[in-house]
Amino acid sequence: MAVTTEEMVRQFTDSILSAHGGHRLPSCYQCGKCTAGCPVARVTDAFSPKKFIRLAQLGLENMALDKKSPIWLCATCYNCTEVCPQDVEPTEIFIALKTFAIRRGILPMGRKMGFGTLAKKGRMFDVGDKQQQERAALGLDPCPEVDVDQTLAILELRGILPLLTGRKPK
Amino acid sequence: MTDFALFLGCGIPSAENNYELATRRVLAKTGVTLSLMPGAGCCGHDLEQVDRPTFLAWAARNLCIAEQMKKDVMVLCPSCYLTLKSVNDHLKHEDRVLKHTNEMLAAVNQHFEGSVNVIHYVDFLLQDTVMEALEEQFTRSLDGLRIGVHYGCHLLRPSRVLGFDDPITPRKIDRLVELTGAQSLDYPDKTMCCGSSILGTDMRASLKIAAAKLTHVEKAGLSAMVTACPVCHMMYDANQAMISKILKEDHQVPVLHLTQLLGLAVGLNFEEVGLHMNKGNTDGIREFIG
Repeated sequence: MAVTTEEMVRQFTDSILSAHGGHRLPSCYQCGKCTAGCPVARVTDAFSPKKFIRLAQLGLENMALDKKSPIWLCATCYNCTEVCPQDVEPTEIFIALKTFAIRRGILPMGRKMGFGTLAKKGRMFDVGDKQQQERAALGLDPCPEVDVDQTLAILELRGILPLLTGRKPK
Repeated sequence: MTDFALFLGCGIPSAENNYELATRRVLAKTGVTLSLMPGAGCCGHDLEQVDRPTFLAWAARNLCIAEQMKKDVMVLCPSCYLTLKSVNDHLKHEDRVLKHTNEMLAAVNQHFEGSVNVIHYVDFLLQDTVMEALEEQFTRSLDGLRIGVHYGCHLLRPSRVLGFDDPITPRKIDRLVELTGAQSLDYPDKTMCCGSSILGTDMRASLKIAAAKLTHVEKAGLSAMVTACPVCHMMYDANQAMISKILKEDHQVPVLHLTQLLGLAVGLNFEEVGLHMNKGNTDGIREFIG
């Protein structure tokens, strides 16, 4: 059965509404306080919280999750969530949008590297011999090894390991 | 004697060991010992952007380690604080989520009990008895230093989840700074983000965000910036030379970890608080303490 455009729009909006912190999406009346307080919107025209909330409200999935999707420009600083007079929690909605983007394989190279290290080492930044030697010289105990067997097993439970390196799931 | 499980996370052991050093030395003055957490890794902060159930299980595994140590968790990084505190509170109050998370944790032989608390060291130091004990140890007045506090996003926001301080006009770190005799001065965009989390998405935009704050601090005529976050510190201190080079600006702002400043006040010397390891120019601070 063919899926209508209307159906696709509804599915996308529903998926945001049911995401953690997404249920207030319809309450946005586009006042723009979020964009006024956004540190990223101040330095680049590529990202505006107000615009992304509108795209989400309208169910415009392809525009919100474009290949060059600027959604990863959200710094997760929660300024927008703090100042929103309608309690929309835009940061939480952008976190949901990022989870959708990553399922389409949309992830900037710099983020792939960070997530790759996380998958492999259990930390976003590696702690190697150099750091351990520095700790020893300072009289600090060695940094404990991450139990990577456990962290990897957790990443495998819901099949997100391939997503972390930017590959689309099969 | 108070004993905590110290959650290191990623930023501190990879690049900011001096933050742990200074924090341990200051907290030792208040009778605190900190035990490292075997097997713990990243708090899981960025995994929320990948898959929420995985994020909860990943963060909860770290909390399980503290539960086995039978110690509350002390955190030095605001993002780790937001993650571990919010997940800890969430699992303690949401039975359905707890059940699902524990089903996931069973795969790695872990079980979340909800038996420990998560605290950022700033909150620990601000307890009346601790603050008094610390103040008694002060041997060097920092009167004359003009400090600009940078809170970092995830100590303050989302305030509905954290309730750490007033998210618009926070005072907690300022109070600790003022305890040393130094002045804590306001400057524009004091509670603004450092920009580090988009360094891997758009480097130039990220550096511009950080540069704006360095400029504000310079224009306000401040002696130094003080941070309570290892990643914000990296952004303003270790990346300061790169910011100057790429954006063709000239920044010379000393950036201290909060506990480096407190360490100087309790009489520790420049090297003892690891200031020799800061990447930016700290000559002004060295001269000040003589």
